[in-house]
Amino acid sequence: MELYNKLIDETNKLLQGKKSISWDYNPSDAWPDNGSAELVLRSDSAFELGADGLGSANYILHTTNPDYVNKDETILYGPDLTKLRSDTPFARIVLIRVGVLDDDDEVVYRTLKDIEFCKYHVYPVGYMVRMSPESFREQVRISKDAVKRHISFKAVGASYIKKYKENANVLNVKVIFVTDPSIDYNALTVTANMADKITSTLTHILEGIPTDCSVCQLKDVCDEVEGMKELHFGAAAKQAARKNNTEASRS
Amino acid sequence: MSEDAKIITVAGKGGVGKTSISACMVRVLSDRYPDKKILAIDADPAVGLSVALGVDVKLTLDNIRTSVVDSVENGETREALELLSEARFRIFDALVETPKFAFLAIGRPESSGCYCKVNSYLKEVIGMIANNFDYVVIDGEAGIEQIQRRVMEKVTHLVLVTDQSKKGGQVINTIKKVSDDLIEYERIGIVINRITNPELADLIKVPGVEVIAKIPSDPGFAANDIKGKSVMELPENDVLLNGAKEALKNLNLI
Repeated sequence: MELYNKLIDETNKLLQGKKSISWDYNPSDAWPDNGSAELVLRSDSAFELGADGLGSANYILHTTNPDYVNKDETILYGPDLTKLRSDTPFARIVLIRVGVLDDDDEVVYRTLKDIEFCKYHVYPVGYMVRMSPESFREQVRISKDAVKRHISFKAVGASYIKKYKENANVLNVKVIFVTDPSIDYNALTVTANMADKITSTLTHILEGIPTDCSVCQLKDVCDEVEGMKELHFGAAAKQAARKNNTEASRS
Repeated sequence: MSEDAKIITVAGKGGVGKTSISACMVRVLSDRYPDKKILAIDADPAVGLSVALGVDVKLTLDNIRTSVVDSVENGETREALELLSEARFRIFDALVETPKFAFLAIGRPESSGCYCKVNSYLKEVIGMIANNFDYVVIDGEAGIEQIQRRVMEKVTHLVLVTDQSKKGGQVINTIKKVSDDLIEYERIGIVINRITNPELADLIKVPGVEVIAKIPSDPGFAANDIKGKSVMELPENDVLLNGAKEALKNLNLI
């Protein structure tokens, strides 16, 4: 699964040279979970991460390469929740090292989506997340009460890692939080968009899009992403083989 | 989050004062319970509750529904969880938060086309949001259509509003029958509004349903309205405000 490696490189480049702090994963650090979506009204919130008008992005990138992700950790670029006093730009980026996924393409696609959807099942108390899959924004209201109880990215990161690691295909997780206002959030959004396109293209591949690149609407993504074309033609070959087998058995 | 959220739906024929009574109920509840979370839902396409409460509505739930439908039609294929997440993300743009209560306008649900998937996500999101409040007051659309569509899966208190007209009485009878078949509620009561002849009010009856308030015509409310003032600015001794208070008291909500 090297389709997203270029985007990991681009992400690292965007964050390069910025001051960061990291914490190794310890399950006992996880912030208490509410069990379901919680409502934090503006009047109850201390501040909002990625609030309207400020930069905001979230995305997930998968790899099998341990050079990119070789342990479970949370990394923070910018001020922690305990230091913030007002609304701030925000990004949450997750890098996941998965095991070798050599199943049928359809299974691989489902596996990646299931890992991605873990984010919808993390409900840290006093940390109200809302995500837009269309704009790639993630906005988080932090309750005054959670701030009083010293909520931190170390704790929230541990909550996310814990959930991702429930998936048997996940080997290591790196959760990156970004609150540093000097970082280019528009560029992070572009990367989020590209990551989404790659995953969407996998779906189209499974649907059997044309194998003639000159007429294919997804040619740009295929050209850009290393390994996508091979995957596409591999899927097409499998489909053709299945079709031939079916026709042979009929005759 | 409140497991015991009180969801009050105000229903009845058009023009009987549902919106004014809903607004007064929001005022009474927010005065009585300043620490509780109160949500007003304007389910009337005319969006009158916003005016009564002095809220500026920029976006309705239907605007969100339409934009999600548009994105699907434009080829944005999303899985169920993602559509739900998108709807939840955008609903906060439609949620107006004031110091005393929050407000959500439905707009014109299911106004065009059949997008059951999107509608059902919105219904789910409304439920999810509403469950996080302690009190939800819904100003219903005139008639029984919304109850038939079950915009809200859960109603704890159903308030049937009528005036002294025969038609008004017939409509609340029908709403009661339909509601008994389609929704579960804990309490139900009738508010007879705009009473001009108190003796005739006794003629309005729905079998098995208690009258929880009889409210005379309220020139003070009309005057407040014409001056462009919201229900939040009504004097404490206003007739309609006290009628709403009486109804809530008889429903054991205050």
